[in-house]
Amino acid sequence: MKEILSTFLFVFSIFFYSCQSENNQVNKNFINNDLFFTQHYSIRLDSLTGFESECIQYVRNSSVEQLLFFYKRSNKINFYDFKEKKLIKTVSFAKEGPNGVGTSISGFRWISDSEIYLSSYWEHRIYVVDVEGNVKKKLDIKDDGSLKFPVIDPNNNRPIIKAGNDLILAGTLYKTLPRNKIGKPFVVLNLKDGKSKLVGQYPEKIFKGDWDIKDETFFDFDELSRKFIIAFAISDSVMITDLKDNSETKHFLAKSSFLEEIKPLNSSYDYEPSNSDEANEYVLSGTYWNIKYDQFQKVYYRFGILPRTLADFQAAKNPKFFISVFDENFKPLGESLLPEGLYPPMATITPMGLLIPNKNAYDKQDDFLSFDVLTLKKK
Amino acid sequence: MTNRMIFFLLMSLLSKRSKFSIASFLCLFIILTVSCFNNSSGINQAEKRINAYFDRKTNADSVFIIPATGCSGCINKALLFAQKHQTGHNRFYFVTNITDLKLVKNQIEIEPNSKSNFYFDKDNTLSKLGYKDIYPYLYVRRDRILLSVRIITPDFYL
Repeated sequence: MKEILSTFLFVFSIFFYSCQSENNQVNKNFINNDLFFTQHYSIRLDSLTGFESECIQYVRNSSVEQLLFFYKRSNKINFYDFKEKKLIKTVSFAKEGPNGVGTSISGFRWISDSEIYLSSYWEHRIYVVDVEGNVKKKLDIKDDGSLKFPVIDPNNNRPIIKAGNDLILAGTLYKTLPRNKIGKPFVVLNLKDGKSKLVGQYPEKIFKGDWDIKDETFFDFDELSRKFIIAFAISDSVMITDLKDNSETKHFLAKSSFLEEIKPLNSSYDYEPSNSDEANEYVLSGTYWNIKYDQFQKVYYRFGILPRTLADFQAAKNPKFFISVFDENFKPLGESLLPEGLYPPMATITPMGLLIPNKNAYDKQDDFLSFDVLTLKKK
Repeated sequence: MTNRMIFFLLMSLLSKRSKFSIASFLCLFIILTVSCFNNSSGINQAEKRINAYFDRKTNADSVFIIPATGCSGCINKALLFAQKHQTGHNRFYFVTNITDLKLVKNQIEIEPNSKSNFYFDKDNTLSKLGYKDIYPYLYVRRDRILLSVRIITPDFYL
């Protein structure tokens, strides 16, 4: 009798807990209204401009707040008046000729109208340009021929930072390699002598196997403290560092309950998946994504992608994103799934709040780029 | 090799003057059969499903699949080809993997539903049927029967 009773209790508890976790999932399946106020903001797009901008920057230009959007496909930056929501100007960059910047610009950094940095993916080159589209200087990032230099690919979530005479860029690994063959994730390019060096450190986890395409580096920069906030896609933790002294680097746990521990595809560095489904299933198994520091609200936002099934992928379903919020000491303040259509790779911090563009709204009306603007209700 | 050529080859082998033995004939027969078998199995299940889906859209013998995302050089060239030859009869252009319809429309300068031989796969149906590629493809058909599937790289048009 005791055995029957204990079996019953065991089965009952399994059912009970499985139902509980399902309910939690359902409750988390929309934006957490206890955490955020949501407003809407939109700008009118011209007839030639589409949804995706690979790099966005909020700036104050002669006391005018501006939102700058770079479009890789058309090699141009659109300057918008943030408050008036109007296009101020478009700066197009030639692909060839004396002012040519090629076809693989992946990111930019505006310092002033006469000093804009463009990073060329294939050429490993930095172009210094102005708002007339003139190329004022070219600087090559010379690697040493090894695989120690990362694949330099600045974008909205790996910006180009200018610190004094240095330009700081980050990239991804060519592939996962043994410790002695891996360099460092950041490149510091001296603008005066054109020399470059590697700085920073990868998380220890990177040496534990083959991470396929999950070895992404994301970071944001706090202009006030001059510190970098670095989040690797595979890691539960984040680093805060000045990139000068690794011993001063602070590590914080910034884990989400939406993701299990992220593991390598295989413990062997040279692993070849047995078939495409194996590689796809690994890539679809969820990962952390970009991190943003909100200097106005003094909080960090960390985004991630929920695991998807192969069936979802085959049915061309879009990935679902989540957001985790942390205070300045990385104490968790809450997390939420994001509504379908919100696209965090283009998330931007402004004084108005965290802007995340809405692809579903764009698909309905492609003359506008609409954003959900999230602001924290409490800290 | 046409059916007529195969017939004459077999007849010459079977003729009394031929030095070929029955064993040689059988050997040749097996090779031909296997090569024909390989030809038909070169078309995979996903391609058959996609071709069956095309039957609902067109009778054209040449159906181009042009993904809007993927190998940008290949796609740009395929879109340019489609734009130049948009009135060509017996050709059908199926634009799929569309992430931004506005940009596709701008590039090809054709509005959806304005041309009977263009289809903009806004729901990405082809992906659900198994098309996962980053390259454009040409489905060569005759009377709706799929004969071959060819990948289109930038030098395809040369």
